[in-house]
Amino acid sequence: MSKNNGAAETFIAVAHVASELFKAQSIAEELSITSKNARALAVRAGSTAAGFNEITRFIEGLSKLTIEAASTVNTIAISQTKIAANMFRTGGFIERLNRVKYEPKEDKVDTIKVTFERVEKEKKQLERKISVSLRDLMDRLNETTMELRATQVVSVVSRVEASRASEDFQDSLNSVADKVSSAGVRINAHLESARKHLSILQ
Amino acid sequence: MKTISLYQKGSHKWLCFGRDPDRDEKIIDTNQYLVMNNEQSIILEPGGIELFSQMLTSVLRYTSLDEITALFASHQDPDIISSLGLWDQCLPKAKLMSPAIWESFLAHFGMNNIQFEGISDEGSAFQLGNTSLQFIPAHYLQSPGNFNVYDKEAKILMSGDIGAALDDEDTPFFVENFDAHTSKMEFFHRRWMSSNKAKDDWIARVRKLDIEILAPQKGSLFKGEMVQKFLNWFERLDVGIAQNK
Repeated sequence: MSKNNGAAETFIAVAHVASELFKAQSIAEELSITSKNARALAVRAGSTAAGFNEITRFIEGLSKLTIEAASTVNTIAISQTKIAANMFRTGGFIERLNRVKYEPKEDKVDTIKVTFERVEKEKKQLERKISVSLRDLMDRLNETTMELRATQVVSVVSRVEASRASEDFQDSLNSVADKVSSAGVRINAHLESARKHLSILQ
Repeated sequence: MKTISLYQKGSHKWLCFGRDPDRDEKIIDTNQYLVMNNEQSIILEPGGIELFSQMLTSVLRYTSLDEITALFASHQDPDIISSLGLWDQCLPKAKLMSPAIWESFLAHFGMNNIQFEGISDEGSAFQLGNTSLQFIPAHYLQSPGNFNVYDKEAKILMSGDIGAALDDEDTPFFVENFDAHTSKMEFFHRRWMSSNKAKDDWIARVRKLDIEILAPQKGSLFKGEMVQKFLNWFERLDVGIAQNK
């Protein structure tokens, strides 16, 4: 595969990462609504569900974290696709420059050579930039995945708290726990898919 | 890049991408459209090179590269399709539907993998999943070879440069005050649209269509009664080079 195709692969993979994070963000927004509903429920359930109130704050925190991570990753990803698209264009230019047949005049500056060196330098800078940026992106994805592991713990603790609440509220509180657990699984699936797209480039 | 949904019924969807806050200010803001039906998608007016990254990121939120079976370019201008060489790298099996007369011109943007399917002057139908889109002739408005895309089911006419306006990025997606909007369209239509005869032919053609949304490639979209207001305004407007001497 030519290096130019590599640049195309990069912008495709990174755009996929951004789209996975966008989907994760939508789920996190649902989670935020779940958290608000759970808080109202905890208030209605009264003292028997007091522990749930604290959990809802934690759920809200997780949702905020995912939304922020998605936004950061999206910004990095858009900047990366731009760099990769520039790399693709620069690569194409170099390939075409290589096909130019000419005889440099001895007494004149070889402008094609100067151009070639400048563009090669630019291309190397772009490659370095994208390599650093890809590492950042992977780190951010790994961090978010680690932080989201807490959703399963939150779900278990929610069930424990639900069992302490009065019977009238147990089903609703268990449903909150189910939603948190399901959101965590779905968000992680998108993060995993995003990581797979990135791993193709490494 | 912002996204709005124009139509959704089952798997049949229309999305509009535009009002890009990350756009370089030297570049005019453009609307790009994605039509989806039964696991097939077509991008209408994919846009210029400079917004390719945002477009690819945006479309992948709703569809996959495998499902994008075609691109449509109403005509040959760079703000419509100069990203072709980049799409060519990610859509090796897709077709480019565009006026037949532009084939050898469009190839200058880079078209090694995408297959060109020229639309003949009288227009044609295009099958997307379980639905059919119509390519409606709009020649000389403003390009000599130019088509609109009509979706009978969604009642949307993607009108290319017809109805185009140069809007700010915080302007609403839909026209709210028609009279105020005309000032953003008038110069463009007088200067770019080259023939009153072509304009009148086009108006007669589209008046026969049931249109709920008229969706140009630049500026706010026309919905409901605004569509008729636009057609009436355009009908009265004198266009063509003679008016710009």
